[in-house]
Amino acid sequence: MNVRGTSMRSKRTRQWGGVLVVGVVLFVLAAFVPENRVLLLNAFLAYGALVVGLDLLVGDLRMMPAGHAAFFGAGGYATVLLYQKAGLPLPVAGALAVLIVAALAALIGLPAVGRSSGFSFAIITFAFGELLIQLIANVPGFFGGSSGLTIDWGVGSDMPFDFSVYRYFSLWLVGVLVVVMLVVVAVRNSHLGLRMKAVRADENGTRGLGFNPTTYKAIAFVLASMLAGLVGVFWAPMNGFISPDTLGVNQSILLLGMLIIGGVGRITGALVGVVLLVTLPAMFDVDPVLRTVLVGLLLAIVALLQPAGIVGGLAKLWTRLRRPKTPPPADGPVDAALEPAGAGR
Amino acid sequence: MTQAQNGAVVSSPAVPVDPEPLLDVDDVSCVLGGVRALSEVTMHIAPGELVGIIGPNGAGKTTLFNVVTGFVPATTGEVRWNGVPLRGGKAHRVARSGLVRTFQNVGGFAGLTVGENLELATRGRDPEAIDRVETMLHLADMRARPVEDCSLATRKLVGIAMALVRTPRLLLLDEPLAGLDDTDRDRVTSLIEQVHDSGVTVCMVEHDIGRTLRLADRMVVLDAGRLVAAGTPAELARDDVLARNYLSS
Repeated sequence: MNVRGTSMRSKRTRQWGGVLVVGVVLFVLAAFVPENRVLLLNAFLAYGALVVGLDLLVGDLRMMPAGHAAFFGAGGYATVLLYQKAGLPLPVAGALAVLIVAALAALIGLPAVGRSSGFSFAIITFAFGELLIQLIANVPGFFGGSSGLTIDWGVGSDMPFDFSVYRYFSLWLVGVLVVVMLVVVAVRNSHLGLRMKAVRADENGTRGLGFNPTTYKAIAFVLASMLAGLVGVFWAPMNGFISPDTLGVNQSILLLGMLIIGGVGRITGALVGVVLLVTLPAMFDVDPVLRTVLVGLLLAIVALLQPAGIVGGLAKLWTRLRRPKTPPPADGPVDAALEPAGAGR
Repeated sequence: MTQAQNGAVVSSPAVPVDPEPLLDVDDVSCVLGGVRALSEVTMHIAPGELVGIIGPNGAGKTTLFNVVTGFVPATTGEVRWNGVPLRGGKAHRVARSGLVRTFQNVGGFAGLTVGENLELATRGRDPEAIDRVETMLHLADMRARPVEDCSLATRKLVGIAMALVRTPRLLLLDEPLAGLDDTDRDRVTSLIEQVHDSGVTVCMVEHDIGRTLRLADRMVVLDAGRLVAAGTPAELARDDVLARNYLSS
C-alpha cells in the first residue's frame, strides 16, 4: 500500500532530481569559473554544505545549536593533525576525522539533547565550542595555539588538467555539498525523517507512540555534526591553514543567520541564505562590519515579517497564488462514514 | 456498595473484575509541584471492558492516564500492566507494550499528512493495519491531506486511528469528544462503540457524562485526586448524591 501517495512520490523525485541538477551545474561552474572567483565559489560550497547540514537540526527539529562551527573546525583540525603528526594518508586522516567528530558530537550531544529546554541545548553547544577554542589556544605545541596550524600536503603543481589547488578543491567541495544534500533529502524522505518531524511537532505525542524523542534528536545532532566535520576535512587542506577562529561562536551565529534568513526546512532556503550573507557581500567587497550589521538587520526583518525566511515566504506566496478559487472539498468521506451506526447503548 | 477510605461511596463493580486484570492501579498517589493530584487511587480494568472516568476539572483524570502510561511517576503506590509493575517505566517503553493512549489535544502531528501519521504510528511496519483502520474510519481518501487542513472531528479520528493501527491491548482515550459539536460527538461515540465491539479494551476520560454513561460498562468517578465512586452506570445513577454531584452534565 502506498501510504504517502503519488504526490509525495513525485515530490521525492523532484527533490532527488533537484540535487542532481544543482550538482551538475555546480560541477560545471567549478570547472570553468574564472580563477579569481574560485575562492568565492569554494566559500559558497563550504558554507552551503554547512548550512544545509545544520538545517537537519534547525528545520527538522527546531534545535538551535550555538556551536555548530566547532564541529566544522574539529573536522579540519583532526584532519591536519592526523595527516601531519600521525603521518596518515590524507583520505584516511579525513575519514578518521569525521569519526572523531561523530564521537565528540555523541559525547556532547547526549547530555545536550536530553534537555527539554532549547535554551540549555544552545548553552551546552556554545560552551563546547568555547571549550574547544580554549583547548586549542592553550596547547600551542600540539594544536598550534591561537595562530593556528598550517598544512603542507605536498601537492600543488601536478593537478589534473592544470587545475589550481583551489579549483581542484572546488570539485571536491561540490561533491561534499552534493553528499550533504543527498543525506538531507534521504533523511527527510525516510521513516527517520517522519519521526523527526513528529518530535518537532509534539515530543510527548511521539513518546505516546513508543518513540524516544531524545534518540532522534541525538541521531540528528551527530549526523549534522558529522556533515560539518566532513566540510572541515576538505576546507582545511584547501585553505592550507586552520585557526581557532574557525570554531568560534561568530561563525556559528553566521551559519544560523544564513539559514533563518534564507528559510529553514528547505535546501533552497539554506543556499539562498549563503548567497545573501557570504557570496554577495564578497562579490561586492562589503566591509565585514557592515556585513555584520546587515546580518542583524536582515534577521530582525525576517523574524518580524516572514519567520519562514525568504524562500519560505516565497513558497507561501506561490501556494496562495496557485490555490483554486473554489473551496477545498470538506472531509466528505469521513463525514459520511461517521454517521452513527446505531443509537448507542 | 463499599465505603472508600475518604468516606466516599464506592459501589462494588457489578462487572466482576477479572482475576487477572489487564491494568491494576493500586493505592496510587501523585504529587505534582507540591499539589496532590492523585490520592490513594485504586482501580482495575479487566480485558474487554469499556471503563469511563469522569469528574470535574482538576479531578486528576488526565494525571491518572499520565501515571499509568509512564509520563508522570507515581509518588506512592503501584501500577501493574498485565501483572507486571510499571515502576519507573518510561512513557515510550510503556507505549510499546500495547498500552496505547490518545491525548486531549487534537490527533495527528502537524506537518504530516494523514497517511504519514498512520505510517508513523505503525513504525512503517504494518501497512495492512493502516488499510484496515482507514477502511473502518473511512480515512483512505484523506491520506494525502495534511492533518492541519482537516476538520477537528477528522483530526480526532486520526488520533483514534493512530492508536488503533497499533492494535492496542488497552486503549486510553483522553477526552475524545472535547471540542466537537453534538453531531460529531454522536459520530465519534458510535466509532468508540464500534472499536470496543471489535474486542479492544477501552478506558476513556470524558466530560460528556451522558454519552460516557451510555457507552461504559463501568464508571470511575474522581474528584480532587480521590476516587469517589466506581460501579456500573446503573449503580451510580441509583445513588442520589452521586447522581446530583457528578452525573448531571
